[in-house]
Amino acid sequence: MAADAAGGKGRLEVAVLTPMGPVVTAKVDAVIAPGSLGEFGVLVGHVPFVSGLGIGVLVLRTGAERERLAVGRGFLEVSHDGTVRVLVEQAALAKGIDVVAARAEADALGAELATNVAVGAARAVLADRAAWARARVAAAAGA
Amino acid sequence: MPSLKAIRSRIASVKNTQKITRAMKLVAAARLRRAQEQVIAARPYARALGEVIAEVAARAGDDAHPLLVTRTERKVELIVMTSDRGLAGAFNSSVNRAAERFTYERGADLEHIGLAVIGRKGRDYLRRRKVNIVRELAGVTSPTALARAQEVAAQVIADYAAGRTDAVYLVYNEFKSAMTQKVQVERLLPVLPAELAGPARTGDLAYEPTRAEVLDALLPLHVRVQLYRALLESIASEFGARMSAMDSATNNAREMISKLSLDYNRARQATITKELLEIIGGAEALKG
Repeated sequence: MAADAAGGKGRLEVAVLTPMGPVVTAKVDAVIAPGSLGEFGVLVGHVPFVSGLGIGVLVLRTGAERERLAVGRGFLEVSHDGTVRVLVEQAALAKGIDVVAARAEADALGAELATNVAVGAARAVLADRAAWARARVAAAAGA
Repeated sequence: MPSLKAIRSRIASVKNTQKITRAMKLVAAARLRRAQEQVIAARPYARALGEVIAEVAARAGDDAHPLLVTRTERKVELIVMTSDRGLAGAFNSSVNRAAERFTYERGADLEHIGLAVIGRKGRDYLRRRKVNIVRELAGVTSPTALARAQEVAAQVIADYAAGRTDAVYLVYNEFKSAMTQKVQVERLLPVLPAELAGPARTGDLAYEPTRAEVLDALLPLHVRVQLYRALLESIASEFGARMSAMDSATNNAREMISKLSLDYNRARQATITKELLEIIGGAEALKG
């Protein structure tokens, strides 16, 4: 989503909330989110909208500045008054991520996934943890 | 009048008790702070989720998802949240009493009430009553609350979806402040969007992937989050209740010690007076 927000129309109010507490509340120009059907962008004036989010990287763009967060599963809602609420299981700001530890965890979990024969729920949990570690690496790497 | 020695040992024992209650109060206060932060952190998420569900479900109608369907209540499950440890004032007894009242009041027009008891104190109390315990869970602490909430939510949702229960209620202590807790009885299932606070609903929403799939993920998540929030509220309330209970116990011990010291001094003075009188009496007798 490279399109610029229409000038003078104000900004998007975004709140990223998790069960462990609010992570970010900010006014930004655009939100780029890892939707369950693929990445999408939200600009000012978006229609009211609810989407599932997968594990991935959420980007908050303000002018040329980009703030990146790793996010877990959840939802993004654009409400009628144009505020954006991101409700996710977990979220980590790029600047707060320990890249080395996250990369080590991603590698270890990736290796375990390749060799582990678990199926069903156990495998899904493992895959989610690996995806969460990769998301943190990706978020921190782009910062 | 008890002997001097007896009073002395009572003072010592009350002092020991006071030390224990003061230590318990300090521990509860430290834990309360952490638990309170966690509750406050979880509330905005839980509220926002409720609002999103209200928005989505209100447009979807009652039959859009199994968890939204209201059935005639015949089989009801009640989730009772208590603590594992006692010495927390009225914390456990008020929840237990609310649970018992619920089973009395609703028992007549229901086929079956099953209780899911969280915490040892509730289990011990309710086992001795004529109630039906279907699930027991102990050892819930703040770090394990999320996992435990998920576990219970999965079971409760499965039972509801399969028609083994027609409604699920929740009894827990809501955390108002360190000094006050309020017993709440809430409905967990079916999810009633009308009861969730939401903004005015105009126009429709766009969904991705589809409304059905969004609801399918949102509603179980809502149940999980409500359980999680209630567990945290209950944990914070427990520490709050214990802190004030131990505070008043410490104060009572102090009062008791000052009363006993007074008795002790009086008794000591009485023996001195008695001895003096005996000496005077003896001297008078020798004069004669």
